Amino acid sequence: MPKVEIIGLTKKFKSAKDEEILALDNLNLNIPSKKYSTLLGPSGCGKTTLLRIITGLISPTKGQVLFNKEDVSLRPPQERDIGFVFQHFSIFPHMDVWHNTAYGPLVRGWEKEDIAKAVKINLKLVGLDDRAKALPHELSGGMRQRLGLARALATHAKLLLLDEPLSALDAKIGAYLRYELRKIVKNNRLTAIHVTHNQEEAMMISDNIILMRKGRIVQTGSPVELYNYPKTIFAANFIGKCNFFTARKLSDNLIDIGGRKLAVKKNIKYDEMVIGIRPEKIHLKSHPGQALFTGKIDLINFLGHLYEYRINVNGNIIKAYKRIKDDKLPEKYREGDKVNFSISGDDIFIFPKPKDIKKELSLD
Amino acid sequence: MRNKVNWRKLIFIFAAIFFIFVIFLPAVFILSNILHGGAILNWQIFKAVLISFFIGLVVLLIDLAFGLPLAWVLARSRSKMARLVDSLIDLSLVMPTAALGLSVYLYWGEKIGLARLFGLKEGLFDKGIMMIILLHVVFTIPYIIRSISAAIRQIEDSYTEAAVTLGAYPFTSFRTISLPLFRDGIINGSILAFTRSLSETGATMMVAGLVSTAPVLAVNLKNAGELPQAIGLSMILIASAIFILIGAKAMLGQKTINLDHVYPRLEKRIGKLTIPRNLMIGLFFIFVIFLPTIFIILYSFGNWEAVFSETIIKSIIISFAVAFVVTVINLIFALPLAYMIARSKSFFGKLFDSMNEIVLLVPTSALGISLVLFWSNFLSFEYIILILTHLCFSFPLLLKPLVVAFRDIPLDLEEAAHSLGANSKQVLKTILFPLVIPAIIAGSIMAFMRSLSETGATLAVSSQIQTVPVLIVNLVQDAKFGQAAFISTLLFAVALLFLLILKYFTYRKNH
Repeated sequence: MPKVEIIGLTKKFKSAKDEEILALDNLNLNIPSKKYSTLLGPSGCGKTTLLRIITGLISPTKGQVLFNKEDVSLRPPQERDIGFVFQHFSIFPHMDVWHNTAYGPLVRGWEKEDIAKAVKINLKLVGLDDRAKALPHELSGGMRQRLGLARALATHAKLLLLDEPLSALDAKIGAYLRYELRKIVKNNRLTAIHVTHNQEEAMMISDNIILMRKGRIVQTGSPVELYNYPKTIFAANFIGKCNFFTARKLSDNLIDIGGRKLAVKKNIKYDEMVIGIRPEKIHLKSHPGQALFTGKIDLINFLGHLYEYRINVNGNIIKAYKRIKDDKLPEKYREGDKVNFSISGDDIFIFPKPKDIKKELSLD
Repeated sequence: MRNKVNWRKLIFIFAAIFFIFVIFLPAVFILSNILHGGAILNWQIFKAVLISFFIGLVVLLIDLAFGLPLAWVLARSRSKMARLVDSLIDLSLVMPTAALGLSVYLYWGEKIGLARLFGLKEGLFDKGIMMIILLHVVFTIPYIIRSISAAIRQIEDSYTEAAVTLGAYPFTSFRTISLPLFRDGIINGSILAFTRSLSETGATMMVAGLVSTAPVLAVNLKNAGELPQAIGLSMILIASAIFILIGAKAMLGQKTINLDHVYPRLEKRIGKLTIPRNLMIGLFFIFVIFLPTIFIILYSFGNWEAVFSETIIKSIIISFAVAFVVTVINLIFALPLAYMIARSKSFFGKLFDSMNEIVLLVPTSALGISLVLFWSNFLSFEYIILILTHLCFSFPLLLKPLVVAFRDIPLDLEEAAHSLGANSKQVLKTILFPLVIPAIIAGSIMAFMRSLSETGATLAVSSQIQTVPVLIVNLVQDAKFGQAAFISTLLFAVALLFLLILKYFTYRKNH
């Protein structure tokens, strides 16, 4: 039901040394209703600040937050009708599971029967209906976060805001809860805004990813869009893995990568560029001939379903994946072997060459 | 290696023996009179105890009513005003109580005090219960504010944030989330404030008039030679301190709350009353706590008689010498004992901790009488008994911060130093000692100031020795306000100096 719009949002903080820090820089954003959206980015990119402004826990320096076209910028969090899930759970330690879940309805002055009903439904939803009398310290981390979710949903909030809800959990439990979280949001037709720095989590859980960096939005779109059509070097690098080469334009459909020519279907717009290619698009060839590149294998990582090769090409490390289709197949390459590989013009991303490549590639 | 371990053990055993035989047993020795019946109880004694409990309870209620919101604002606000108030809170805590008593008396009771502001010809109150309550609020409220604001700072902000996102307005969240979570802080502060009110002698004597509180009566009975009655009264005081401690400890850690009644509309309105609240606690702080505390200084301008008579100089020398000796001896024994309590996982650590708290809570005049009874079996020299008495009541003040400081040092640090090849002595010198220096300074100052300002125990030990606070009491009783004000201001200046040093070190620790 709720559609969240952000208009011209700016947030400035004062640091301890009284320096001004620009946490959010004139953001404009539409967050679709009934979709699972994630605010993704490295730490310090402003994603949590944005979420807390949407919640009303902090107020923006400039700009507006709209819920269903209605300006809520000045509305206190109590009146925004939201559910908030905390990174470290923030389960009230002096109340049992039942009272934690009932807290929202209680402080809103609901009737007793309605409270009991809401608690029952939501505890069942997260699988804690048999632990209603338990105290928080008797629960595991995963259970506490389920309780956090039940508590946030008990007020029938349709907008669910989640601040790194899975990052304080063990990796396996986090991965499992990911799946449950998405299921609950989709089944109950909720709008979710989920903050995370974990791109894998964002890819798996989202309908819509909002990629942020240094207080700005880099790109928004579905996981597939972001993975296959990254708009910047940072986006290509942050979402999934990517190899980068510098390249030069030869003609409209031909580029030069360190002396090797590559035909490209699309029209080349830039004279100097950086091209990116995903590791799974690098074709390893065991014999020379068609290969564009030659390098030495520095390291082979076994990842279960694939091998990751780290190939040293004149000091640059190129990552390549090779699927393991048949467990009987002996490993062809060894560390230290020379290897040739080729890339296709259809598989590459083309970016204009930035002034400072290192800065673009850094993950903060 | 074996040899060194034994040395450590020996030091710990020695410190433990000191604590048991010099601090704890003498303090509760008086209770042994139950066995051989050296005590008399009568209506006068019960009346004094009832009055003291009544005063203690009223004081505690006032402390909580104003201390809670004040602590809340101080812990949460970052305004300059709040920081200023925060640094002034401890003033009445380090102010020698006899000087404080005089200051409060002049402020409320004389026409040159608050009455002048309203153009009255007489003081606002006469000496008596009302003024005792006003006085006790001044020196007990810092305990409440300090314990509660420390507890508030420990509560994670995210709990209140969670409550707010779930729809709770500030007052509801305060009542249902914050208050239960800092309940232990309230209980700890209340124990300190209540027992402090129950035990205060010197300051109370300044404002009591004809009213006899229990500790004042104990001193008077003892000095009138009515020893069996003094013993009876002291026994009641010590026993009630122990009961209060046990009772309050039983309440700690129980975190339950009745959530069945929430009144969203009413509580939403209450939460909006921040301006009247701040105004109320601001006025209370200025007119009931701050001005009465420093009034003695304002009074001194123009009224004081800077007399350095032989009695005064002698008193000053005695007071400072006793305080110094006591602090040094206590420090020597408190350091190893504190380490042992902090690192002990067994029953002994807890036992010593509890014994220490009992001594801390025993009213000092009762303590003085108990110590006289205990030590006069072995010694007759009053000065030594006086020092032993001061050792006894100031030791817990020093031990407590040291235990906390040692507990705050992760065992990892010691283990890391050992793994890098440091021996026990080097670990002590390079790791432990530097990290507990702030606590040593804080504890030493507290112990020193307590010794310097103590009246009740000193009066109970001797009617001859005049420490500075005793001298102030005597001067006031002779209506020599000018001289009393001068000496009080002098003591206050020393207290202020120490407070600044204390602030400096706690500031450095926190930044």
